[in-house]
Amino acid sequence: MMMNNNEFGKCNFANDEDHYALLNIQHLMNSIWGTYEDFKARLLQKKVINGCDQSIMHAKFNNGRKPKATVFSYGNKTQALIANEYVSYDDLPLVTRLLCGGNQMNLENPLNSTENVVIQSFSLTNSKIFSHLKY
Amino acid sequence: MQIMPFYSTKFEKKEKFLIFFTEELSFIYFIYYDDEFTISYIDAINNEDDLLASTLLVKQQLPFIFSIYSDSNNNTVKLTILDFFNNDTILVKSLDLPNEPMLNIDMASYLENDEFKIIIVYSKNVMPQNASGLFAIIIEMSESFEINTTIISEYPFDFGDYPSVKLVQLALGNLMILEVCFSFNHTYYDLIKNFRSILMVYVNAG
Repeated sequence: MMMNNNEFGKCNFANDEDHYALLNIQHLMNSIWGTYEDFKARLLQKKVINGCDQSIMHAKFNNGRKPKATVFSYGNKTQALIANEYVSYDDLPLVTRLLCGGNQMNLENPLNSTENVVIQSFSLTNSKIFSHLKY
Repeated sequence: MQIMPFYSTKFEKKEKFLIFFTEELSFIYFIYYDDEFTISYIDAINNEDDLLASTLLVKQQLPFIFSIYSDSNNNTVKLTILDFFNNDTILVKSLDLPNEPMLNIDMASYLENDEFKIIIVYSKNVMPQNASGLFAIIIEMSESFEINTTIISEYPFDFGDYPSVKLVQLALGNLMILEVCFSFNHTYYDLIKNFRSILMVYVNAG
């Protein structure tokens, strides 16, 4: 989570083993977007990908469990459709509530079971981080 | 029965779809049906080893199934490629993974410039903080399935569990990867133990 806020001066913490546990927040879901070549380069550099990366987007998008992603193009936009199990606020550990807050939920149609599936979609390639790519 | 649909595609000439399911992660079921959802073909693969993850790749309208199996007898992980219509296994390759148990795994494949690209992402515990780390394997092979490059990450590229990975070709012509995860165990004790680390983050940020 600490790596996800790009306005935080914390980039150097990402590769410090003392802070690994801070990056491991229960029920926090993240997405990483970038080119195949950039991802391959990070593996060879043996670096942890974080929110300060110059060419790979790294973001928290919600709290939940077991996300499964599908990617498709709609018009000029690339959309990611994520299905995941819902976790109620009561089931979130204290550390998750402290650092990440509660879940998005529809109050008019609350989900009663933690096993219910939540489907959410978002557009990913509008980020400035991808402006270096040649269209 | 656990049904887990994880792929569907459309063949240009035959205008038919192929989807496949897993049952208890040891079978792959194939259902081949037309636009009106009339099932014309169904088959299943049963492997003695445990199926960990699978993905489908279509080359010249021919489907190939890329699968990762865990061989519990000799504690190895194998990559297999199946020619769907010929029911023929093209390649079986043992992946030289560190001898540590994987928690969860997902994989994606893509064909670009006559080269198959496969990304396997898996999670395992990393010490000393009992965190769950994400590791990746990249395999690139020629159109004739000869492996050109294998990269196995020695260090986690991120932290979390339950990875979901996709490779997509965007309209702009760049190959993109999506990876989604959520983090693993973190107890109140960990919060107290790492209070100094949290404090350092805030002090440095300030």
